[in-house]
Amino acid sequence: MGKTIVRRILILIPQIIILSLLIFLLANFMPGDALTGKIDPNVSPSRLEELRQQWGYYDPWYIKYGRWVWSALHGDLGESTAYKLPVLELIGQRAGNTFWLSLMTAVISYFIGILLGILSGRYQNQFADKAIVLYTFIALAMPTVVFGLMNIFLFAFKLRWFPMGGSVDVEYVAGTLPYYRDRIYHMILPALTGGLLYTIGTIQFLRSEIIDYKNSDFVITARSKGVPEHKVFSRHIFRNAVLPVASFMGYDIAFLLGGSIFIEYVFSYPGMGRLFIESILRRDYAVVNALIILFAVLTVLGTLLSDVIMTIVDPRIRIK
Amino acid sequence: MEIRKRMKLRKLLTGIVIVLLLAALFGEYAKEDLGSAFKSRMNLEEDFIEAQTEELRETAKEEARETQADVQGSTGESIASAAEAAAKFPDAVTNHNPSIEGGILKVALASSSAFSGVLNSCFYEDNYDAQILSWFCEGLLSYDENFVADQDGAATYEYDIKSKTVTLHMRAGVKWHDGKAVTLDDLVFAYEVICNKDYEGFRYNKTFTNIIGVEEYHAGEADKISGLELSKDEMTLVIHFKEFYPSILVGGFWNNPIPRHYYEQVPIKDMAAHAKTRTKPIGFGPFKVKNIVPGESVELERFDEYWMGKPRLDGVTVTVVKPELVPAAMREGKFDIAEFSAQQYPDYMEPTNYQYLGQVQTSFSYTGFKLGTWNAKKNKNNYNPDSKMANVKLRQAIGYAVDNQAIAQYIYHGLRFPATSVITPRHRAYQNTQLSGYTYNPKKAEQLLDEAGYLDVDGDGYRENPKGERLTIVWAMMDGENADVIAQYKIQCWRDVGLRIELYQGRLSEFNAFYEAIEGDDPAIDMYDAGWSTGYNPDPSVLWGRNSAANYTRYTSDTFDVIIGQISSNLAWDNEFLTNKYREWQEVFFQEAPAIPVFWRIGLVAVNNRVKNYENISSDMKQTSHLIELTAEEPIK
Repeated sequence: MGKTIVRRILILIPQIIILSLLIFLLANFMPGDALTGKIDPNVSPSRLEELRQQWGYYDPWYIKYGRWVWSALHGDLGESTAYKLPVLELIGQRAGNTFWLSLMTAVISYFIGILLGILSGRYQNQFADKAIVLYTFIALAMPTVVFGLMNIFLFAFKLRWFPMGGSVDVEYVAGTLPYYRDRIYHMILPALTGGLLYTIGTIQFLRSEIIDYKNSDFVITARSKGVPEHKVFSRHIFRNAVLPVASFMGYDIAFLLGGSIFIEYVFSYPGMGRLFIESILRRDYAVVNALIILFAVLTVLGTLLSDVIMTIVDPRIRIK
Repeated sequence: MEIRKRMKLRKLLTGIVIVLLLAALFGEYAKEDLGSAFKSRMNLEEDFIEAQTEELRETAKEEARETQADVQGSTGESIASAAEAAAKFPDAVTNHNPSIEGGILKVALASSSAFSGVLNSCFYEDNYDAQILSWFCEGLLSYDENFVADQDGAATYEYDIKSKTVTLHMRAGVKWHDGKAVTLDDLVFAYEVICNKDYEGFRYNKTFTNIIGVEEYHAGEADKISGLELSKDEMTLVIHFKEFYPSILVGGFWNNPIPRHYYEQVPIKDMAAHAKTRTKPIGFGPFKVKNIVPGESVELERFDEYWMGKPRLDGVTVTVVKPELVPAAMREGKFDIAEFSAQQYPDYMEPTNYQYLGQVQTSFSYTGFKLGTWNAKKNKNNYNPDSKMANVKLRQAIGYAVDNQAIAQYIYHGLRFPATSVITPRHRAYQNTQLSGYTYNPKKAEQLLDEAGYLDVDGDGYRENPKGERLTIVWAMMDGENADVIAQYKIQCWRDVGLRIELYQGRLSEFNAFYEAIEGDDPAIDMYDAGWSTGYNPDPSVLWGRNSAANYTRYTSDTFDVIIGQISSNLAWDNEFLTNKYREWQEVFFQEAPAIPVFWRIGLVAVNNRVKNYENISSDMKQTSHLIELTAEEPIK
């Protein structure tokens, strides 16, 4: 077990090196740079040239890459050209927001997913099941952005239950209780939006697993031995059906990060996803590189986590 | 069996009906209230574009038939001149209701990205930071409606042409938010920061290097800037210029101080990232920063010791709002003030709880022609008389062929109007109102092309060049609001006069890709659509000069050189001379046509009905926000 984890982490290192190299090359090929199109009557082209020289934009890519790796190893991921802040500080400001929002989204998503998945599997082909399946189809077809805007319109503008965006109202002092309450209050609508959409995987998965197990031999045996139906369901079927769902939790980290890009965009929520999009558009290379590396590491760690969970919950497939 | 089948069928049918109903409901809902968000999505669909383009063409044709000679006279919601624009959108609110005591003004910052939060006048780059800064920071000088510095600011000034100096006198009693007095040493400090070699911002440019001693200081050869002569009491500052021209008074020298005592311990390299800039900035404007949520919102409170008197509001909150949500947010009374873009405006053109203020901007859009290349070594433009677009009649024909009035009316709903010259109506004194510009006239376009020898030799509906070779003109246009509809429409307009014009790389260009190609003189591009804001000073040398890298057309001519030279010469201290030269410049530009001015624009601000004494002038010209009052506790719904 411990060995596996160490091995997996060792594999991570070359993966990240190759990835960072690829990102660097791609970023190099992107048209324009952080200073493109900035000329206006108050900004002279010669000043921009001077800055390009100063920031090393004219150096060949391998020198840029070497410089980047060198300072990254020293804990310095560069400085954002748009925000004029060290990248680590900038990401640090945003990472907490994304983490809490993702956590809340995940909780909501699993709660709804497991509940509806069980209902749907247990009452297969009955009304509840059909309604749930219809819901999963609608949610599958619904673009996150559209659903988010609908929710903002309905719950923020019309009903005024929730704020329309942002992470916290400006009047609260950081660190106080009302401040944290307000932050949670701001998170509910985006988390609900994400949760309601991303839950469909769990529902479908759980449903098909339950339906599979319902007719499996050991369940039929249990029934024929006279075990009451609710016990068959909770002991024999559910326990087995929920295993794969649990093992997918790790993969969900990557999924949630991807989804956060849209959710954060719609709700003007200052997290890493939104920062990522903005930085690409502004050619803020240092931030883009750092975020991609971070996303990659989290994805790999997520899959690792999945494997670990799997081995814990299902002793049959313990890795040797 | 039969019954079960029928049941199944019935269920299926009910299902379909429900789904259809849901879809229809959803459609209605979307159409009404999420208008702009959906429209921008729909714009991606080709059919939609074609339908709109077709509609535009039809209306334009009809219009042309009705008023063949006089397109400008067309009615409807179109706007043809600055005067009409001013009549449609007032520039100040009229609210005679009794005011409440204090109150918090809620300002929306319409932006799809977070604000950077570089809240220091020497370092900020994006416009959102500038808007936040304007509530708590201001320059020492204020400006009149012609953008010339006047004597109403926190400092007064006098100038002397002979000795090439400007002398600033600081008013007594102007205080920073921490209570310390603002002195001209703080201005000297701003110069020392911007001109320092450690400074990584954009500001360092000709307006600084034109001051004696700045270049030596920048190179590290001097500790002080010798051209800044500060009196002992730090209340008088003499600035010595190398060259002294009239536009120095038109925002031509830096006058935004930053507090030296506050930044004393901070190295210049770290200033932009420092907490004193990011979360605890100070200024000497009417409001002071109380709290900042990075990238999201800023809370400001009244500064009682403001030099023009105690502000009437208790405070201001500035919050970032996605542009798509601005119309609904304003209608629901979530904010008092918000900027509107042309795409959001049609959602509610006749609001009841707020009103629109408009102002003609100092910016214009134009179709430029690529006529040469930039020589970075010699720092000048090389005009190529053999380039594809070198024939002036071809360029003029391209200008006459497009019905900009129709685009302004149907796409921009009157928020853009056809530009007749490269000097905007905002610079009233200099604008040549005699020019009619390239108004839609396809006959004239065809006539010009015939004269120039561009004829359709092979009868395929497109004209060949004078040598009889196939002529395809490649046109670069940036993606943006409604850009696809406009591009299709213009291409069809040009096809109607027999010109084959294709988009660069077959599609609209992304911002960065566009500017990289234009700045780098990509030989594949023959013409491009771009915009430009002249700022305070409409001096043509910046965009059209022989030595300007921003002159993306790369066009140069002797007549241009002469007039541009005269405009920035010492003779221009005579206002009549300057005005005449500006008018002459616009005429010459119209004739030589290195670019076709396309639109002038109206900046739109929505203001809730509870706001009183709000004037829509750029706050960096004159501070008026200390006078704003409210007439209700909450924004009116």
